[in-house]
This record gives sequence, structure tokens and C-alpha cells, in this order.
Amino acid sequence: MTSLICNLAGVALRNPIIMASGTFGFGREYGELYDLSILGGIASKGLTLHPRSGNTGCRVQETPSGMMNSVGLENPGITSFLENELDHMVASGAVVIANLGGAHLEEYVTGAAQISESCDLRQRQGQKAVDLLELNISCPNVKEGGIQFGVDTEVARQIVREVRQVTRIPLIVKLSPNAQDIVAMAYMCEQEGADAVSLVNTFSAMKIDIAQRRSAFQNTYAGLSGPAIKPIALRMVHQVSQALSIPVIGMGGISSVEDMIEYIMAGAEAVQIGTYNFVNLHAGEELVSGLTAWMEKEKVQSLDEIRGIV
Amino acid sequence: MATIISNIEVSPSVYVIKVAGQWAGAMGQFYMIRHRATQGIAITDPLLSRPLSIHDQGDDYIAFLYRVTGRGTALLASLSVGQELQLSGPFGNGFPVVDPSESVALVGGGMGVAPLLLAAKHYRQADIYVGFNHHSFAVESFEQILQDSQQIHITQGQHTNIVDIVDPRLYSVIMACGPAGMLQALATKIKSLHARTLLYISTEKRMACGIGACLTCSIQTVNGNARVCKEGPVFTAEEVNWNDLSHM
Repeated sequence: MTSLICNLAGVALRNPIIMASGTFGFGREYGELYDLSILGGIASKGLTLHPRSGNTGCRVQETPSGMMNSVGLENPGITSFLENELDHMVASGAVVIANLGGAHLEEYVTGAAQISESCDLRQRQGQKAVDLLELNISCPNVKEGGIQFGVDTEVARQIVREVRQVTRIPLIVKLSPNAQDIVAMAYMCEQEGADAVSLVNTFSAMKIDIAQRRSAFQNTYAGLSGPAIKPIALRMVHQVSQALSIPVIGMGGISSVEDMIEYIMAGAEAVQIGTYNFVNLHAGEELVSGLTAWMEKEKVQSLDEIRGIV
Repeated sequence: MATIISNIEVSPSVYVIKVAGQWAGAMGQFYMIRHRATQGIAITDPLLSRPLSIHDQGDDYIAFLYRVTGRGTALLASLSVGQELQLSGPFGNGFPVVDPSESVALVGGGMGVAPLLLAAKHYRQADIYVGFNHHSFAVESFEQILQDSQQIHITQGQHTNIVDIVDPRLYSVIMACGPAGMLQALATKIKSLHARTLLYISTEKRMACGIGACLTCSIQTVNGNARVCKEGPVFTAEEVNWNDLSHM
């Protein structure tokens, strides 16, 4: 009997396919298209302590086999998420991952504490809550003068350490590919008590509108994702998987079953599907059934048989 | 999957693509369109689907009017009869259904005429105003469906403006689509004439998913951010932030 079950910090997912933050909203829109309970997990839109309206101007541009986005963490804020979205995500039947963003240290810590307290209360009342917290350290850091948290290992250490202290929810740290040393960054996360790491977030990128003679984005730079980044992201997942004992969640340009298998062979426990959700609105259900079919065809009973074999 | 019935250049770089089948949709709604996958493998360049508003619809076809502006639309233009397209939709909130007793005008500028043909088929009493900077297109389609009571007004050339010949005081409702500047000029004219005309505008912004998940098409409104793909593309003129729209 083929088994797709995977395990993240004691949380069992029915399969390793997680819908990535920022590409799946809170599941409402895709839930109108297919049954979300078939998915391994859903990562929420990036949440901040207070609502954010996001960036102005153009928010998306295409590049060969990729896209750049400059959404700027538009989200309703943590309070609204807990009141209006969490029940819906829980009802989907998939594992619920709350993705936490922020602009400064205190925002991360306060946000993590608020989610944690709310979920403790829910659990005391017998309600299902957030299963995993995904800490997104790739947001612009206002206080640090524009340096991204996810770039400098020692800056990131403080956030991971302090967030770890305020929550018992299993903690994933989502890494930026723009880190100076992604292996060192991942290793630091493990040292500071993270239960898993997910990588990679978008690459810092640029497009120039030559007619206007300025950047196509008001923030000058934007985040590159999609198939164009897959080979680089895969290499990073391979490097990090070899250096860590905690699970690694791989992502970056996954657009087929074969792409998922590559990430798992590189050592990933699970994978996240991001931009491909835009290309194929039924990506989740097609990848779940495709992975099952691949395993049956290849006579692979469990993904453990191929995980990290490269 | 949808089989292409025709893909005709109706003006330089402007095409009407028609595909077979019964497709749902209402005036002002749109579909996300992409070249079909080949043998199950998704074509990833260009990566994203293209949002195209429904131009025309019949019992056994649906049609989209588009201009070639980049690689995606160039690929679309290269497709021929018998080839297949992938359509997802219909998405978005289109033009409203108003009481037949209301006096309605439809105003389109350039590619903004695209969603108005279906609206003209619904509002058989509406007057139609279409303006073009260069070559006109789709005018014959409007003329073919005109009723005796309807009028169609056409302007052509860079020194003409379709808004100049619209008298909003004649209409209780105007539905419009076109460049942000044209739409704003129309809103300004309604206000300056103290007309009690309700103006609905169809907006446009680059988007990735088309269903409201990616938030790349958010615009500012008086009620906070709204998604062009989900809450829009049609908004009332009072709702939108013109400064934001003009930076699309």
C-alpha cells in the first residue's frame, strides 16, 4: 500500500504537498474549485500584527518562466485572521500553517504570542487550531535600514530565538535565498529551536520599464519565483538538507510531479507549491493524484525510500 | 480545452479569437486564457494566463478581443483554427443588470470596447459611444446588433475624445471601459454638469491567478483595497481612487 504521509515536528500530513503562503490566500478561492482536504497542508497569507494594504503601483511582472511580485504583504492582520479565517482553514481538513511576517522584531514576537495564545485557548475549548507556525524572515526590515532579516544570520537569530520563547506551536522558519550563507542560516534556526525550515522564498529581482526609464516596481526590486528559480532553489534545499537534522520543506518553481520528486530526492520532507497555483488553478489536486500515480508506477511504497538519495 | 474556430486580425495588432463550446459568463466578466499544455506538460513561458474580458458569446461559441502587446498575446495571435486553448472562468463581477426603464449609455475607448459588445446585446435600448486613437475595430459588430431606437457614436483620431460627445445628462446609467484618463474624464464631466448619472467603470490591472488569491491586482477604493479580479473588474466611479488607477 502506497503511503504519502509525511511528518513535520510531530504533525502528520496526509501527503507532502503544502500550498505556499501568498499564493493560496486562506484557501477560500481555491476551495471553490476543489476539495482542499486532499492537500497535505495550507500556509496562510503572510500575516502581520496589524492589517497592511500592501504596495502601490504594479505588483506583478513576468519574466521567462517566472514572475516577479511586489504585493507587499497585503493582509487583514492577525486578529482578523484568528476571527475570520482560521475556522475556515481548519474546516478545510488540511494541516493549517500560519505564516507570520513583520517589519521589526517586536512585531514578530507580539504576533507569534498572539497566535499562540489564541490557539492555546482554542485547544482548551477542544477546537482545532494552527498546526504549525511558519516564520517568514524575508520581509524588509525597517529598523535595520533596509537590510532584510533573512540575509544576516545573526540578525535572524534574535528573531528566531525570541519567537521560539513565546510559542509552543511547532515552528518552521522560512528562509530567503538572498541569505549570505543559507546553510549557516538554516543551521542557526535548528540551533535556536526551530522544528523545520522551509526554503526558498523569492529571489530579490528587478525589471526596468525602458519606455518610462524607471523600475517597473515602485519598490524598485521585487521577488522572483516560478520555474526559472527551480535549479537554484533545488541546490539550496540539497545543501541545507545535508547539513540539518530537522525536516526541510523544499519550494521554488515546482510545476510537475517530477519537480516534487527532485526536491524529495534532494532531501526535502515536504514541498510547497507557490506560483504554479497561478499557472494551474487545479495544481493541488493534480499534483496529489500525480504523485500517487508516480509512486505506484515506480513501485515506491513510501517517500522515505527516495528521500535524500541524491 | 476549447477549440479555436477563428482568430482574425480586425485591425493592426488587434484580434478577435473565437472558440467553440457553451461557456458561462455575463457582460464584463473575464476568462483566464492560456495556450493548452502539450502532452500534459505545462508551457511555462510565458508563465501566466492572460485575463481577457468576454467580447461576444453565443450558443456554441465565446469570443475575446485582444491586442498584441507582449509575448503572451503574440503567442495567442499565432494560433490557428483547430488548435486548442485553455480557458478558466468566468471570473469577476461584471456590469450590473439595471431596470429596463433606465436610460443607459455604453462608452468605450480603444480596447475598452471589448466587454461592451456583450453589454450592448443585453441593453438593447442603450446608446453606444466608441472612440479610437488610431484604427477602429469591432464597430461592425456593434452596428449589426443595433436596434432602431439605438444610436452609435464613433470618434477616431488622436485629437478626438469620445467623452466630448457624451452628454451624461441624457442617461441615468453609464457603463464604461477604457484608459483610466478617459474614465476619469467621464466621471469629471458627470460631476461638472451636476448630472445624476451612475457611472460604472471596468478596470484593468496585471494579475496572476484571476480568482482573488494572489492579491497582485489590488486597487485602492473608498472601502479599502479591492481585487480587480474578484470584487471588480467593474466598480462605481465613486468607489475608486483615480490616482491609484492612473498608475496602472
